[in-house]
Amino acid sequence: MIKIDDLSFAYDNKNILKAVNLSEPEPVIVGLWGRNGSGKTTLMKLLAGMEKPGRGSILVDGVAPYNNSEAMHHVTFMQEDHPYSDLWNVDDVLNFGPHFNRNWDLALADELIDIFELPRNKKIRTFSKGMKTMITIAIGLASKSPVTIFDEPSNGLDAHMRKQFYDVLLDSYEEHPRLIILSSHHIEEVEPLCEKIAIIDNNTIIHYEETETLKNKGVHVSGLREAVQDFTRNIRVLEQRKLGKQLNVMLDVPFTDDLKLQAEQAGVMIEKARFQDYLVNLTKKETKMHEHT
Amino acid sequence: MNTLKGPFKIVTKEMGLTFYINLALTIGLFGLFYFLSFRAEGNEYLGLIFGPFYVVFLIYPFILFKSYKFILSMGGTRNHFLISTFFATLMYLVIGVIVLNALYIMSEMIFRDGYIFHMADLMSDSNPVMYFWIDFLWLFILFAIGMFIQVVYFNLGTLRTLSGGAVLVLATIALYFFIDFSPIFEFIITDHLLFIHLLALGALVSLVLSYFMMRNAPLERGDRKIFNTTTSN
Repeated sequence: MIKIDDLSFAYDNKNILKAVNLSEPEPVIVGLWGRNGSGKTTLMKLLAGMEKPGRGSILVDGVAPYNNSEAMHHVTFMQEDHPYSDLWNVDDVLNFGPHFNRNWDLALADELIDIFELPRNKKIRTFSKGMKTMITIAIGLASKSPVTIFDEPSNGLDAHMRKQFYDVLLDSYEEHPRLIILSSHHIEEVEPLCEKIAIIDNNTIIHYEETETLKNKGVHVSGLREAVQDFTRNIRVLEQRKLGKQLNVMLDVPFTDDLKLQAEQAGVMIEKARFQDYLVNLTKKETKMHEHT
Repeated sequence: MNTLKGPFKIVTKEMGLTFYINLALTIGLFGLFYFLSFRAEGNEYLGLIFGPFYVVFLIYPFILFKSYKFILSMGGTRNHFLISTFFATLMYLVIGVIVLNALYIMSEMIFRDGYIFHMADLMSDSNPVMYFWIDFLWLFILFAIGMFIQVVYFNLGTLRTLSGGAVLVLATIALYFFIDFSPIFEFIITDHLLFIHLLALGALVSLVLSYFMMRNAPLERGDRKIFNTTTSN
């Protein structure tokens, strides 16, 4: 499905991506998480063939995507603020779709437009942010590209729209399994849908794991300072806060029964950290500085 | 499946509205001159109808360039954009030339007095094919000029394009004062047909250059790097 080898991309004398390696041969739903400016969008543009790799190689469904006319049938990239002409309405976009995607499913496109209640003859430029996101989702899903990428797909959607999006995405995936990449900087928004998660930080992919494995990591430990320090002696600490004699830390370990037992014996409190908090701490600069020292 | 069909549809959609507005303007102008022909005396000059088409082909690249982003975001390539742009322009150019000359021929048949000016009137060749050919060449030249400026502007951005433009203007002014241009003006007047063909050749070269500048163009305007520098973190 996708194979990235030693990929680097620089812009304006600055590395945006360096030494990125990723291989996913199966049709799965992947979450791509990274903080603002981490290189997520650049990576997606490279996968879609919009940018040329500086070094290394990318294969999407067996083809190198940059300036490759065949790639349009293998990868679809729906951007966060996907550009639409001022002249286009929904029917125009549905009319263009089949010419860019061999697998284009017109029936699904029509169904999605009806589900999302999008007006067909109204110019897209007059749509609200949520409606624009929905037409973008509809095109992406109806393309049925072997590799389909959505950048911040739930941006601008209210709770009801978001649920509709999750439902149609999973239905479509079940019916036609393909590699779907969902990028977000709010992991909670996409994590329930994803089988795997890629974490991008410091210009490269630092983790690519099963969602369940990654989600289980990140543990809060609190208690008397000495007890907590003894307990965390050989464990990677992501964050620590002192409150008088108390110390509260976040650890980069899986939350297991064994760890709970050890904490009980050490006399410290232990609980699972929120996934988003774990990822933020995993990728913040202070953590790296702490590691270096 | 022909991968050019989608990009071609996007470009023609982007160009279409402007084309039809200009078509309406040209027909409106023709109607006005038809009315004036009843008030004209003898073989009086009434005006010209090619103005809207000539202007729009000069600015077309600035209008249709929006489709670059649309085509890339739908999955097309830079080559798709360029080739579909050239084909769509050729299509509208041929239609434009046919419309202009059909109206011109009609004017000779239905105007009571007076005439409308055609660029081919500058030549002493009354062959009807020449009239079509001259309009074709001028529309092509104007489009190529607009395209080249737009491509340079897109690649280099506002600051670098304006700086380059200012240098060119200064150089032209300096040349005007130091070089005798009268033989060139004489050549333009006496050998007008050759002059237009040389211009068309220059236009063709600028289109080829535009193609090479856009083949690996940046995604955003002004992002073309001329000199590669070493990267840092």
